[in-house]
Amino acid sequence: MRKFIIDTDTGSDDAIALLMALADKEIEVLALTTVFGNVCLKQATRNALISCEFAGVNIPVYPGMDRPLVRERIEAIHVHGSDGLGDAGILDPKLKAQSKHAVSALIDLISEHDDVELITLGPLTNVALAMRKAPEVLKCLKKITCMGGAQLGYAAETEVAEFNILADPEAAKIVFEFGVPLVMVPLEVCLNGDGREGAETILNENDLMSIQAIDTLKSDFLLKISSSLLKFHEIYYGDVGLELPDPCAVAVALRPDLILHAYTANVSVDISGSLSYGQTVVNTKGGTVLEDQIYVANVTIVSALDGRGFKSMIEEAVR
Amino acid sequence: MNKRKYIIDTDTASDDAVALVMALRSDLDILAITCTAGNLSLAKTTRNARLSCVFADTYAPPIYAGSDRPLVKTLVVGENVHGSDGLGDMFYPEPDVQLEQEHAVDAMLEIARTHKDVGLITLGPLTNVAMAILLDPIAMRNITHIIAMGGQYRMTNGCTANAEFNIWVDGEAAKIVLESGIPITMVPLDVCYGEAEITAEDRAYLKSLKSARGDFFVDCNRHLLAYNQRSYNKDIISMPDPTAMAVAIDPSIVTSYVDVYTQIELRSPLSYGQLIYDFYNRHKKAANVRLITKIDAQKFKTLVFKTAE
Repeated sequence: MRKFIIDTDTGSDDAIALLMALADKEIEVLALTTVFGNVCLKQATRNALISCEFAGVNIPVYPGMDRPLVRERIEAIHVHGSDGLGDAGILDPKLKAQSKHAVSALIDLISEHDDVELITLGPLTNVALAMRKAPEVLKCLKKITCMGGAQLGYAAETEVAEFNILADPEAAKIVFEFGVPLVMVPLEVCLNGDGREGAETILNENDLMSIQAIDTLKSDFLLKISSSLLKFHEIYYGDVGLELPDPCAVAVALRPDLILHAYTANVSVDISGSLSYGQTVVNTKGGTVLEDQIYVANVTIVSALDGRGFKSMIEEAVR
Repeated sequence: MNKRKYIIDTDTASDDAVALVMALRSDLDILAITCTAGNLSLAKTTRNARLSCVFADTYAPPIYAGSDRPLVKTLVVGENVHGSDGLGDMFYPEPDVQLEQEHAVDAMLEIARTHKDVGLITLGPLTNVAMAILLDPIAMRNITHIIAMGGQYRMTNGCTANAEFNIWVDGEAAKIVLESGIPITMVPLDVCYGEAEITAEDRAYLKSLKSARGDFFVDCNRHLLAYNQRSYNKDIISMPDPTAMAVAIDPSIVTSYVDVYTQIELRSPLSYGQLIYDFYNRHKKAANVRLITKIDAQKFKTLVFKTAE
């Protein structure tokens, strides 16, 4: 059975991603580790525990870093609501978080279990610190699937940077250079991917009605917590659409058969730009005068996901 | 009707040469050709600009030599792309076209001071233009607009991952031009590839014309062809500068554009020279660039073919 740890800055799309992973009986989720990001650490931990309750599981949740390594903290409560769950009045969880720090938990779990896979849904601060603290242990990770980054022309937080990477670019640089197999699920995967047919991952009005018709506590939870994300999409695009970056990453990690297109590339994280800070710079080859430049691939980039398969995975998770 | 007046600033290598011939055989009135280092050293780009006038076989505007290096950076040339002479190592004979004594920047400023109806087409790094703006910003405000071949917005690895050669060679100059207030139409690499590529069939057609120009267009670009073959595995000649020139000659070639506030990254070693487009108007700043996002490629090719006849 594949074993996963999920590192999450639990906002509303993380919560849906967690429902998906925790509903999958074919895998084992060893633990959740939480990190600041969409919301502060305390809120992220609360939301992770709430997600466990709605999923009907009791697994350890370890709180981690409440700040980035170097830069000042940025948040995304304008996207996910001030409680990160769409300000829908979701009650406090009964489950309690562990007292052990997420960085220690990551190191311990990876050394205790073989072939652990990591899914990261937030800033990479916990993972980077674990890599620095116990590199030989973290090298044992089988794979990291990371929701983060964007290809040229698709970023959303600045003109060229995606939120999870921008929230801690220095940590991202450590993770991208570390050497464990890394699958990057950039932002555009949740925006209908590279535009090819079948890659429609944005949940439209019909998709939301199908979820409503399922009519369970989980489906109700999903719709309630998504109100902020829906509003955010409407302001930008003027229509009904739910963009779900973190669920896309979980789908990629759990169901590689749903990947429509992926390629390998050299990805560097920009930590020195005045405008390009936090950008994931994707190099496949050198051009013009730099044609002899050789770039060693360090990342597999997913650029399109089977939208139909992705949506039925969400439906299954809330059924 | 008065002809539209332009100055062309160029680092003349093979695709610039085609663009110059197109300009000199069009309805545009080219008041001057100013040369800069870029694809090649300044000595070679001025020679190639003069040679292009011979192949145009219409008239030779005054040609001026300008900057021999970028403002701040060290010059990096692209002889691997265009050949050691910049014209496919065809080693064409010395042209009988003279080079003016005046510096390109002074010539540009002189025209800007005395005209209010002149535009600027830039086919290379923006060093000369930036110097002119620094020396006399008020005069340069008379330049009606700049049509620049430069940048990329979705396409990657034009030069570095996210920067295109002309902008990357002199990013500091590009910043000065972007902030000058002169309206800029940017023709990015993205629209110069794809349907606008000169294919084997297109080249066969140009050769079949049995014209000096048709031969010149294909022959002088043979290194560029080889570069595209080995580097992109594509049997094509890419034509960035002629595409920008076509936009000047026939603006109806443009089928889609966005007006966008554009900045440039200069501090990051990874992203130096990358143009940063504020497509979502986050900064609430007025657009300083009209970014061309689509052209009528067939119309473009027809213009190239007609010029070769």
